Amino acid sequence: MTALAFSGVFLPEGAHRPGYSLSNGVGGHPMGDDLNDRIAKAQAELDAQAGPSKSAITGPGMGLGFRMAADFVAAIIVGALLGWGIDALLHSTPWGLISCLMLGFITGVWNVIRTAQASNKANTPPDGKA
Amino acid sequence: MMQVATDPMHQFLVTRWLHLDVAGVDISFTNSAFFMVLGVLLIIGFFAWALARPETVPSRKQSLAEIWYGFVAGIVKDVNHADGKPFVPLVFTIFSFIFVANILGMLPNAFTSTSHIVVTGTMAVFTFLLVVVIGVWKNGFKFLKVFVPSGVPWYILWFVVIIEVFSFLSRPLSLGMRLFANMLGGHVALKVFAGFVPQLIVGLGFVGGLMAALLVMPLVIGVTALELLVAFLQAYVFAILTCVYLNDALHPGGH
Repeated sequence: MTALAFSGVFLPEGAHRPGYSLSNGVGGHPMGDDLNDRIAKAQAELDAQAGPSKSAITGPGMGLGFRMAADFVAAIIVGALLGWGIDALLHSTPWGLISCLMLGFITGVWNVIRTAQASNKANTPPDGKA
Repeated sequence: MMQVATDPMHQFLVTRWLHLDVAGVDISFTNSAFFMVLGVLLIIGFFAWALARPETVPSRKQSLAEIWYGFVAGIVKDVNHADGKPFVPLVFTIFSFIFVANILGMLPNAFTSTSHIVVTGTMAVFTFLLVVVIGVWKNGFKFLKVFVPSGVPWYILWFVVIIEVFSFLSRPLSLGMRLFANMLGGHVALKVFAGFVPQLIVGLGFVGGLMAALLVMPLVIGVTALELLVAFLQAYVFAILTCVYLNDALHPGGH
């Protein structure tokens, strides 16, 4: 039942509660087992037809934009903080800050490229036609 | 010219509602805490009410609860597949809390808890630490593979590892900053645009100001609609990134 609840995402946990369950449980023998099996089978067939749903991995375009912008800025800030920390520890001002800031910038660009690549891959059908 | 009090930052002021001092630590009950507690109570109350008497053919409230759950479970299923099942409650909690806190903040005179980096940062650091703990617990030393992407030639691998470490460390900051900055910026923009209306009326006189204000008002409505979208979208992005990061903890190196 739990596997079914997860595959057919619209059934919440605890769906086996009385009055909710698909099995009627007459005389200790759940009549609905056949129905449950058929639903599970139909759901599996639907899943196989639809292929993995990609939209949730990349999200709508606006969400993707928010992700990229924040990932880019965050990497640069982390670079600056790390460089600052290294300089304070090793008294190497300003070389730690300079090198880590550049590394942070590279990381930021790399984050954006990777997110965009994943999104492109997810939104391209397997046959290659966009 | 008369001044109109429209300080756009005033709405983010944390005020103590109940003074509490425990061993020199200020744990006063603030307006921020109140709206967080209110949000949690609303979520629990709604689901308890909607699923009090579940039926096979769901009523409207039950449908809403099931769609809400199904949406979050769908995210986890799409990103983490079968491994993600234990994390559905966690992601559901994170999504619901952020979403309700954001929506509560859209009410007039309400306080937006998620517009403070203390709140969003705590959630982001929690997610980050959870990923590290689960990654080490499930994979041991193999978790370090998360820094070593497969299929990279050895002569640039050391550089890629440095970049991956930076990228990994930037995650909590990115998570916390995005939510906080969007809520802060959005509410400031809303306040500034809405503030144009009384300012124009005071500045241009009643009739002229009213005409100009009528031009500004559609803009305010538009920004409000956008903010409602952002309130949902930020909760969605936070939930999805939690799933993506958890995926790294479960399958390190499997980019």
